[in-house]
Amino acid sequence: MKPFAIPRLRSRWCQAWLLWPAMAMAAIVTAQQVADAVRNSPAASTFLRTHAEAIGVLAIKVESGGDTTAYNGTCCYGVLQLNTTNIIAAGYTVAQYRNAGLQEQVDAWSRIQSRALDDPVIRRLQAMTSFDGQPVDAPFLLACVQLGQGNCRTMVESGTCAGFRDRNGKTICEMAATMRAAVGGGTPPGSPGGSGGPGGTARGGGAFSPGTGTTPGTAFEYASGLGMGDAANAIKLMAGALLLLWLAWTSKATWGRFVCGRVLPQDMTTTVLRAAGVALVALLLIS
Amino acid sequence: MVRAGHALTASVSAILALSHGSVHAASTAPGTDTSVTMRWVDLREDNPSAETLRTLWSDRLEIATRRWLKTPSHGKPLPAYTLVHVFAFGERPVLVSILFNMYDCELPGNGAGADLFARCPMRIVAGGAGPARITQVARACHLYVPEPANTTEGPDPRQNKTRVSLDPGGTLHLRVVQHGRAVPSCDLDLRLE
Repeated sequence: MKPFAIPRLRSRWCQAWLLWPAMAMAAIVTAQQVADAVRNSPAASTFLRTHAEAIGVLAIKVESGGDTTAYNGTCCYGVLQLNTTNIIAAGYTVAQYRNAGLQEQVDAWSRIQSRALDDPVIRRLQAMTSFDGQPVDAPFLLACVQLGQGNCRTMVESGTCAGFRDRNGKTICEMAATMRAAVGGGTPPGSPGGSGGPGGTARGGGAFSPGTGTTPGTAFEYASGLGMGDAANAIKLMAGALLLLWLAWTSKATWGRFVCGRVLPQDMTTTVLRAAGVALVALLLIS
Repeated sequence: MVRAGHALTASVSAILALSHGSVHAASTAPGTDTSVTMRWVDLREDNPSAETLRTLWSDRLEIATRRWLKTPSHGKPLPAYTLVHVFAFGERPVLVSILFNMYDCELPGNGAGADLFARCPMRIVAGGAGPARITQVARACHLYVPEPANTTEGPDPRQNKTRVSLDPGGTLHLRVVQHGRAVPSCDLDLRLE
């Protein structure tokens, strides 16, 4: 068995090492980094720079989770899920764009979206305070250009949010609501309330940044893309799992020594009780 | 349909010379699909095809280039392309070209659920005896995806394309296939004079 086991182990290590380049390429960025890249982009319009924080939320909460190498399986790449067609329009090949750094991706996206924001339909929307009961604010306008200026026109001309749905059935109003809710500045349609939470305004005004009044929890979620509670739970889960693994490992070793007669029965009883205690702690952490 | 004027007239013969070796006769069997996938030309390239097509679109490209240069472009020229095909309609060559750049097209949205096609200006140049005639369409669907660098990912060019045909009656048919399915909202049937 030994001569077989070692090559197999070596083979597994080799496979693991092969994964390292892919793991290294997957750059995960935060909403704050995306927002900073928008502010630093020479291609970004004044509107995009003013609402850089909202674009950070769009990237993390709606599009890619912050992965600059993300591909959605049908059309779109990168941290802001730029369409293949728009990547070409920006002068990139898909491979160039996907391997580009955050700033370059944001520059290309900003150039395309600054152009889209010039569309008369967007200007028409900017003159409105609400559309079909939805506030026409920064998330609404960003959702409009992110889902396509032509599609935005279709919606505006129909007079209702349902006037345009993408291939997944999503409306521009729904995307805007998701963005508002992500920042804690409002609630999606159909949810109770809607008066806004810390740091944002649900209706009108266009104010859309965490700014002053943001709770530490909101700030943490905004920057990391993960709620504090979710992060705590994940850490507990990992700690519990590691504890159980360690327990299984040591129990197996102790049992082997006990079977061989190298551990006395009374010592084994003590060990079992201790192991039960550790298992209880691990289970508490996991639950 | 308009009569070709200014620089366009001068360049039409050169443009139609593109047809050499790639002409498709108009369909002679009604009911059969004789459509062809339009060829993609990078207008930044330095070759006769790109040069003559740049002339065809020179008015649009001039304005678009000015807009492109308003923001730092790091010395890169305006990314501009065209889908093109040339038919033989009897004795007359007919060139169909759809311009693609970020300023002249209505670009698609981004993210899950987005379409791949843009809506861009199209020109049809009919040559033959007498002055060339140019028909313009403000918004025609344009779908082109390149071969993916990674063969396991990216939209499949065979499933995403723009096809065109010219029937014996002189009607041009433009069709777009996206993810292997026809896009009815992109159907364009244009009777040429």
